[in-house]
Amino acid sequence: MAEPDDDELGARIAKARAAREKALEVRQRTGNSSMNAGAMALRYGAEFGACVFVGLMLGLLVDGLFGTRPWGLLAMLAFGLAAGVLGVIRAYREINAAMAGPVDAPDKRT
Amino acid sequence: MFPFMAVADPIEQFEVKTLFPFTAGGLDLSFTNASAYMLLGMGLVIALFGYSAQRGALVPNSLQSVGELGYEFVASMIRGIAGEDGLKFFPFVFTLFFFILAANMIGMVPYAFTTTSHVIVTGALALLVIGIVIGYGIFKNGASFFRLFAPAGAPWPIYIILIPIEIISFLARPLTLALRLFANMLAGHIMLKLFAGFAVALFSAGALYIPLSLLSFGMGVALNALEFLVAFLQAYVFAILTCVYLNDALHPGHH
Repeated sequence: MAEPDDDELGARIAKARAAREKALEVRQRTGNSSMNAGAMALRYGAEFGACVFVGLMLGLLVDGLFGTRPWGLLAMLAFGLAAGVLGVIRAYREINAAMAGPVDAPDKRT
Repeated sequence: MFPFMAVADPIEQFEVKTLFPFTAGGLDLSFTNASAYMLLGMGLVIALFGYSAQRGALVPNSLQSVGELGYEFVASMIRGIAGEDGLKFFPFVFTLFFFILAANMIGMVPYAFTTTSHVIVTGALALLVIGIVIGYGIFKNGASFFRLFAPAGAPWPIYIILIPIEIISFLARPLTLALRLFANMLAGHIMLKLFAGFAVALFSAGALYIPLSLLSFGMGVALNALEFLVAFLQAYVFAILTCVYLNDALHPGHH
């Protein structure tokens, strides 16, 4: 087999690169749909639980620092619940975006 | 009486055992089986990529193409999420991904210890990620990094509610990051052990239980396949979320 000259090699590299980009795009569009229901449930649960937990901890911290028992805890728990709901909505959007059409990136959270 | 008493303890596999005792300044810094398996994972990753980068042939052999695929996989993941300038974190994300992947995969070998099933390990990794996000975010953007907590375009009374919520959801990130990896690995390994233990215990319980034993064995086989998927998926999810958080440090306010 003769050595391919430079031009031919360049053309082949360009072709392979274009094919790779295309394959990547297709894979990104379809790849994430393998997430099963259990993983999704765990995702939502962790998101919500962690936010409420952080709210609880912040509330206890505020009360400990300023002696405002129980108002800091009440306020921070309310914020934690709100953050948990927000987190679940964001996770839902991310999963939906990953499953539906071409993703430009999962960072497009509003 | 059910013959389940002979089932092996499903928690025993997570026990940390001291191999070489060592204390310094009142701290227990012993070399444990967890340390040994982390070193093993690290060694495997270094060996794989050391070998695959060594030859650098134009036409790669199989091991070299594994290395190249791994490189491309992580690089395109970062490029897709954090953009071209996110690539300065390539070494970090690459190390993180392959360390977790190696730890998870080693955990799938029977009798091996799964380091990622300990919340102290995943917690340390998550704190490292969030520490880098905060440190780099403040270093690069200064005070405007904190605009992350106040998304633009809301009337000002809303901010009184919005800012605490955003702060809480930011603080919850390392928690979910650590918890997800830890919970997946822990639950998976307990299930595997339980089904495998049932299969053996039922099989030895008498001819009547053998169909049940086979059923349990089948579940164990299916779970094994699922666990391999989970082992990869959780490493991938950890790396992806690291990229998403790094993106916040690189471009705050691009919500």
